[in-house]
Amino acid sequence: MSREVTILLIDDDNIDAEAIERALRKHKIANPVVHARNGIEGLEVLRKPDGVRKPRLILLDLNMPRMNGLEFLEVLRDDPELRQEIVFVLTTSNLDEDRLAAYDSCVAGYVLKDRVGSNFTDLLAMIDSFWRVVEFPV
Amino acid sequence: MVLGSPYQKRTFEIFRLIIFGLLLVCSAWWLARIAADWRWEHHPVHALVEGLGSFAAITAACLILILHRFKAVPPSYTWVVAALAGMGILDGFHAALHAGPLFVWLHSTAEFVGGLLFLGILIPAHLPLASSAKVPLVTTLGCLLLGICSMVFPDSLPAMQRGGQFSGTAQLLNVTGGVSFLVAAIAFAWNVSLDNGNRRLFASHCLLFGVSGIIFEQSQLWDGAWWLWHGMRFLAYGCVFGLVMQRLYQMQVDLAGSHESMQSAVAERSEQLQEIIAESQRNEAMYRKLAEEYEGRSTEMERMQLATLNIAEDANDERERADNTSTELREVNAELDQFAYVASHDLKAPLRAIENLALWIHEDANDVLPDESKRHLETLQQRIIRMRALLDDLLAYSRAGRKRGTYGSFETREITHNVVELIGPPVNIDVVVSDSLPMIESFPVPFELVMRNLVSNAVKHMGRDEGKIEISSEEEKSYIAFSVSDDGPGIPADCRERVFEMFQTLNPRDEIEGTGMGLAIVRKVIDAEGGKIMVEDSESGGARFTFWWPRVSRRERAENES
Repeated sequence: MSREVTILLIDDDNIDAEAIERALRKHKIANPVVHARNGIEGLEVLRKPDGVRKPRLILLDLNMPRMNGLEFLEVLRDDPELRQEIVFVLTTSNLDEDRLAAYDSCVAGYVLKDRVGSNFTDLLAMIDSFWRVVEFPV
Repeated sequence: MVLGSPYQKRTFEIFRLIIFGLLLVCSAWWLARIAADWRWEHHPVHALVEGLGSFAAITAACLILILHRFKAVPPSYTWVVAALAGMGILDGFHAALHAGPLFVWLHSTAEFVGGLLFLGILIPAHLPLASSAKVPLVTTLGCLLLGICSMVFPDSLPAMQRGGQFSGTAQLLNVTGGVSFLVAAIAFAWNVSLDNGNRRLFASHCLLFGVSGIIFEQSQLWDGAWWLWHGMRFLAYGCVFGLVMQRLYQMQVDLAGSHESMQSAVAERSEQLQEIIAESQRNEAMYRKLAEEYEGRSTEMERMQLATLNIAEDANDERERADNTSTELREVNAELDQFAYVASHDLKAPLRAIENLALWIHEDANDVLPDESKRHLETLQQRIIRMRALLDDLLAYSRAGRKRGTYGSFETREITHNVVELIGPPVNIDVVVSDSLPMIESFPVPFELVMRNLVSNAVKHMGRDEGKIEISSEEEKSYIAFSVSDDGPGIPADCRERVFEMFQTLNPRDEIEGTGMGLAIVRKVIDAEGGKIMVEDSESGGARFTFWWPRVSRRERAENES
């Protein structure tokens, strides 16, 4: 990885978080990963100076306690400081409503956890390609 | 003798008048001849005759004036009244005198004035003089003045007698008056505006006066001819008087009649009024009855309205209940949705964690695990996969029939071809889609779902790498019967109902990977579309699934649910 992109994972499932870290480790990728367990934690860490270094990318689960993914997206897009964040939804929900709502909030992609292969290898491959090909806002 | 036109009739009457007049003149002439020496000087009789005549004339004049007030006389009445009044006045003076020059003078002037005034009826009706109301008054005053003057200044009068004979002046006055009367008689006879009685009478009146004026020339004082023309004059006056009296009587009779008819009319009217009153009373009674009835009706109406309201309320309650039911149904559906969501996420999330953990154990510790544990770990991973499939199909079942796509006409043949292509059956399994598959009007998504499940079922359960699957259709009245037949192992008769239930499989799950949800989903969708499905043996011993799909689907369901 040529550029140090920080990954913010907002997911209440520790196993999924561990799976991602494990996959990174397995691929010998040293990108820093910040883990938040819900939307509120995610916002806190985003608003904290040097909480999540830029350039950064958010992997967002939808179904979470306290503040779910869609609520988090609403707050994010209303915040002038945060509205440009690149967000990938990473969820088990295959509901049309969730998908449409997520894209209404300008997510970069909607990813089903079931479809990214064991240990999120496909997901990491996609993210790798993404940050190497796509220009980031900052 | 038949008289046609009024003209002929009047000509005849004039002819009769002339004959009558000539007869009178001749009889007077004859009387004078045979009784030339007869004299009857009797002043009281003469005074009586002249007085009565005068009275009759004046009375008749007054009566005509009265009649005129009732419009019972023709417009020329003024001259008749004037003539009668003038003659009556002068004859009155005459009647009061002893025989002498004044006596003859007054008689002669009466004849003269009367004759001339009677000629007044000849004045054309359109001239104002013809019907002037002043004529009688002027004449009356003039005659009174003449009479008084004659009495006061008898000496200044012209001589009336000369040697026992009437003088020329007297004869001139009388003959002129007589001729005027005769002309007036003819005029009366000719007058169309009078009725027959009046015309004849006035004509006779004038004829008598005219003849008496002519005869005067032949007569001498107190002789036969003299008395004759006095009688004629008396008769003439009597005629007019009688006529007027008759008219008055007639008028009175008419009045009485009209009074009577008026009374009868009044009686009739009051009878009618009584009837009207009675009827109005009847009507009133009827109205009252109607009003009562109406009141009854309106009470009934109110009751009915109340009943209607009650019914409406009941209907409202019913609707509320139905609403409640549908609300409950919606709630149940929502719960089902929630359940599906839970199944898809909350149950799958821990399953995913388990899967990951198993994988990590396998990756990290496979080398150190005993063989038995390794085998357990593999089984664990297989069950995890099946569990996920079950959850996926459960989710699919709960959402089956929900997505329907856009209603419209579509080719079932085309959709079926696409389905087969998507499934991609093994090369040796031959899938034949009949060309007879028709076009239907329905929702494409449920149809495709059913077809996909049936075809993939047939492929999956073929039990070998080769085979034949036939898809055909048969058109029935309002349904299309689609069949998917295979030549696989078939379905035992006692299991044919069970295959459509949830989580039912014929084979152990380890042999053929399946959740047992496919046919349950198919039946659920077909039920929702108003069709049905059954399974039987195919000709080749395999299974034949036949489902009936409505030729035209109900679209309300989608509208209701959307």
